[in-house]
Amino acid sequence: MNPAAAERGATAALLLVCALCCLGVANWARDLDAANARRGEQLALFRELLREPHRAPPGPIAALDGLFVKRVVRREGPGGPVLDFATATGGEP
Amino acid sequence: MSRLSCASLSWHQALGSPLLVSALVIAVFATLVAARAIGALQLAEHLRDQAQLELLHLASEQSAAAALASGRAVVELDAGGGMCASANAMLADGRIAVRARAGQTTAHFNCSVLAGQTPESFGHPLVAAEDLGPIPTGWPKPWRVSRAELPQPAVAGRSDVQLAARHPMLARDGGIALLRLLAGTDAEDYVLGRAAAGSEPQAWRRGGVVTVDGNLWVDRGGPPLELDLEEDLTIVVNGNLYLGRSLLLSGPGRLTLVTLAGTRAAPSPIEGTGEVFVGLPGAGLLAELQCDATIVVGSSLYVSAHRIVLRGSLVLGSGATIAEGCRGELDCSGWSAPDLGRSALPGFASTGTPRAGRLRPGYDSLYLAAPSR
Repeated sequence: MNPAAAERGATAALLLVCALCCLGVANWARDLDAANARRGEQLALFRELLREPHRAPPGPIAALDGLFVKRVVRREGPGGPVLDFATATGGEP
Repeated sequence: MSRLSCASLSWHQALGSPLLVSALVIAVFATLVAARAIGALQLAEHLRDQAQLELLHLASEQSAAAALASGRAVVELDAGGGMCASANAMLADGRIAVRARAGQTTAHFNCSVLAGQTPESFGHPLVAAEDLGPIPTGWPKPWRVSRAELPQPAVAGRSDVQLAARHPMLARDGGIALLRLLAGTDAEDYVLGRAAAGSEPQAWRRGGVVTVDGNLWVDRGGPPLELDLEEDLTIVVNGNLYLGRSLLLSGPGRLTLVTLAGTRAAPSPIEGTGEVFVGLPGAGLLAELQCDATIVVGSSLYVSAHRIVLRGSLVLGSGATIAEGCRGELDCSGWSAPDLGRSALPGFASTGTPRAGRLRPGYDSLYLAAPSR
């Protein structure tokens, strides 16, 4: 095989691999952007519910799933509804 | 062949090479992708830090509520994934001090202990007595209550009431009524803060209750009157209230203006019996008047502004009269639920159970006396 042609072929293959890697990273960055946007919305909701816990539905708050590892729940405290985290068994504390 | 010809020939050869062009394009693409990925990672880190901060706030709120019952409380929250926060709250002398920690962040908060909450009526934009006649066309549908349920100030016997005559932001003016009204008034006239052109909003550090034994004026002309309230302030007017221009607030405090009805012989601008004038009588119609306050009208409301914007509630004891040729549109919001539930309006009897007030950032001297843990 012509060495020059082999070299060109290898270079082309390497460029193709680089392009595929870039594509993979671009997809991952796009997914991370979407996750960041979702997390930003959840943070804004968390702040609102922290200020007005009575607006949250009783029990687990599905809209906040993923913001923290543990699930955010609304429970009744001595002064009214408060936010808290679910226990490991999934129940309210 | 010249050097320039050689160079241009090399560039031509380079741009004609598919491999080289592809490499250039991929290099540019890779740079853009890397920049985007780094930006996304930095944003994710920032959001995690923000979530940690909110966790600190949540721990602080829980510890304050728990300290109300037990005097002292420690709350530790674990949100999973290594995100934790703890808060230590202490109750003393009617105040709660909180020291909270999350990650590398330490914060201090404090709040007062409230006997109850602000009367629920103030959560509605417009409140009217149930036996009151029709409301002006286009106004919000009023929340109807019995006359006994209309919010009333409770200032009798309080030792912390400030008198208008001694308050730094109220100036007695014996001539304003003669200047602005045809026949003047019989009562004392007080003018609320005089803002000079370009001056900073006047700061009232201390809230509480101020009583005005006479009429209260926000004089017309010039820019809106700006007040910087650090704490909630209620001004109880034993006379009429005249709003000649917009009244704006900055700062966390709320303003409530109350006129008392039926304290003199007969309702009239001269006698001063709890009327509220939005736009001064006989001064023409205002295009718009904004008032960052709740207004409790003891007697009648007279409107001489095409549009009124209230950042608070309007409570009507008697009727409202719109001046001839005036549109008299009303835009009022009432207060939000958290403002009602975590606050006690000075000068009004609170309702409900004792609770911790709204936490505010700040170091409290309670921790100076407490032994370190």
